Amino acid sequence: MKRISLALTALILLASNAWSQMPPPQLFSEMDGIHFLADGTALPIWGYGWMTDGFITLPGPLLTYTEGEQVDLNFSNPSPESHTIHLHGLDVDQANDGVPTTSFFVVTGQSTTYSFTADRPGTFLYHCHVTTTLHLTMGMYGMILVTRPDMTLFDGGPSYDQDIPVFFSDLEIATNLDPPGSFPFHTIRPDVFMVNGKSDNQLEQAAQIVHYEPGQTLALRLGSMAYSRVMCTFPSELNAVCQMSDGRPVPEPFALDSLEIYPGERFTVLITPEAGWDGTIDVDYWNMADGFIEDTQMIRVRDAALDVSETGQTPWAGFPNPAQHVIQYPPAFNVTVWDAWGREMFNGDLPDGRLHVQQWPVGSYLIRSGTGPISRFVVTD
Amino acid sequence: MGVCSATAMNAQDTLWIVPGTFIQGNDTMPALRAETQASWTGFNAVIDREANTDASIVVFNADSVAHTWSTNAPDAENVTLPAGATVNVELPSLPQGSYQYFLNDEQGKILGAGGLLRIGWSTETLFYWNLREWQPSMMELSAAGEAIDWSLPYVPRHFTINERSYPSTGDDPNAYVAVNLNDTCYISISNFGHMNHVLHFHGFHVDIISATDHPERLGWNKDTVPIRKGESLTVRLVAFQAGMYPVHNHNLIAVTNAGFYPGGMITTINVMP
Repeated sequence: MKRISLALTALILLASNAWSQMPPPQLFSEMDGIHFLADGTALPIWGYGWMTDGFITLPGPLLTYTEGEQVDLNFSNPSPESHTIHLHGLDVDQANDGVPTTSFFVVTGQSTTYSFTADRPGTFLYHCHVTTTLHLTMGMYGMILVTRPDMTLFDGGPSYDQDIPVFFSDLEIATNLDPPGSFPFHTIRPDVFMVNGKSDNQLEQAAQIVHYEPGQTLALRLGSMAYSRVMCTFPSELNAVCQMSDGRPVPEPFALDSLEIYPGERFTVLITPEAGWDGTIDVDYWNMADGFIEDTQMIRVRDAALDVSETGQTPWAGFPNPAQHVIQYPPAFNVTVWDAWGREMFNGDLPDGRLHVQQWPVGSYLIRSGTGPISRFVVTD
Repeated sequence: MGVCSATAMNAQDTLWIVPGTFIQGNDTMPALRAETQASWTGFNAVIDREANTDASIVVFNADSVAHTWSTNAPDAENVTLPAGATVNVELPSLPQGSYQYFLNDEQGKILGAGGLLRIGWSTETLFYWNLREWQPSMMELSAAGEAIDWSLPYVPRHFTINERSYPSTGDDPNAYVAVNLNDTCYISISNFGHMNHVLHFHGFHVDIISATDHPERLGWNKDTVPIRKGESLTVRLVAFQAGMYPVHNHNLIAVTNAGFYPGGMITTINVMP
């Protein structure tokens, strides 16, 4: 049973971390990428990607390190202009800071290695620091996570089950279509607002939904490279608690229903969603200059059990789901049901297909008939 | 552990509200400053006072119109400064921290008179960053007595620290943080503009040790620090590594001069080994 849970968790992780790191660790930059907006528009971008992949993404690949790791981040720039990597918030030394005037440019055709010790766990960012105003709005950024093997946020900090990178950014379509024409830069005003590079209906795609199992605590790794001020609204069912900001523990963790994130800031917020919950963290984007609200996007959070049955991934789904009293299945024999912790809740036959759950604790459950496929359901009150 | 040093434009006795012309690149703007002298230099003065002590300052309004004096201290009151008049302004008793004084009438705010009010730091070493952005067309309108339509998009062309934009911030010993390795220094930061700002420190995290608007962030250790409009902060920086590290606004339209990059709100921390 434990192996089944692990396998399910791994699937969920794979789905939610579609831009995670792959070996060998060598980034490259390019200026001929394409990013698809929600309406299908193919927009030119500049950005970072893995050499092994051969393409760039927006945002760039997630870089993950373990606390205390000595990092050599290899970087090649085959693009037509100079670029750098600034390791935002990692407090690296001047030589590795990625600022052209105080560190160095990585000119066309050149490779380099940024070296540093990932000495503190937390959420960090990286971005190009050449003509920064332009290179960032073109898409040259990504997130860095430094984590601990024991799945605690920091030494003496709370434990959690899963990292959820949430990267806010925005862009101005006219600038991406005509970068030289974007001058003067102080007039740049974004008109596309993104969460992990996605907007609008793209955020409803399964891979963009934050799935959880009841009882799990998720670490939302919130970071912004937007030009906007971002405001997240947390529904009470998420039980959100802010634990860290800018890669440091906050002195007093605090429960929150909203959180504003300025360009360059990061927060780590633990959420423990209630069983059977399916809702959104609304994300407002406010213009920094005049304070007008520009757009609202969202982070969808959903009990994984709901997703499995609704998307039809199993031919053996019960109805209704979530359920309060009875779930109706096709007649089945040798049926076993486990709760989210792997405890057996039922073992027997369902000749009429009716599984009575009225007295069961609220939560997520797994059900299997014989050696058939596993289905999941939620019991609500 | 040592401390750093810098010379502030201190106003301890008298402050002059002085009209003049602010020049940034090809833009010339009608402006006001709170000066330490009767003539225009273009820089707002810092007022230093002891903590938890009532104090005052003499303010001479050399402008041709009346203005309104205020501070961002709790329960601050407005004081009218008639044109050409001299007024003795009471400064409230305040705990140690960084605050701001400013002109609270629309023209006074837009034309840019106002500075840091540092409380209780007389024996400490300080730098200060007076943050402000400038939209020349709005300043022209305001100087002509026109009302400002705040429903229109706000698109400032210049962004300054202590009335200087990068690279001129390097000429200001209060903006350019030159310290020795392992020094501890304090930076008073205040936002006098009409928009929120956010500063990112390369190479360092800083401790927030005073905050007028968000005291819940006291004690936070951050590398990216929002300073909302009207807000004042004090941060402590421990110079644990040598080298030159930028500090800049991470709203990246604000690191430009009339649209040219780099410029605007950028300064440097220079830690000498």
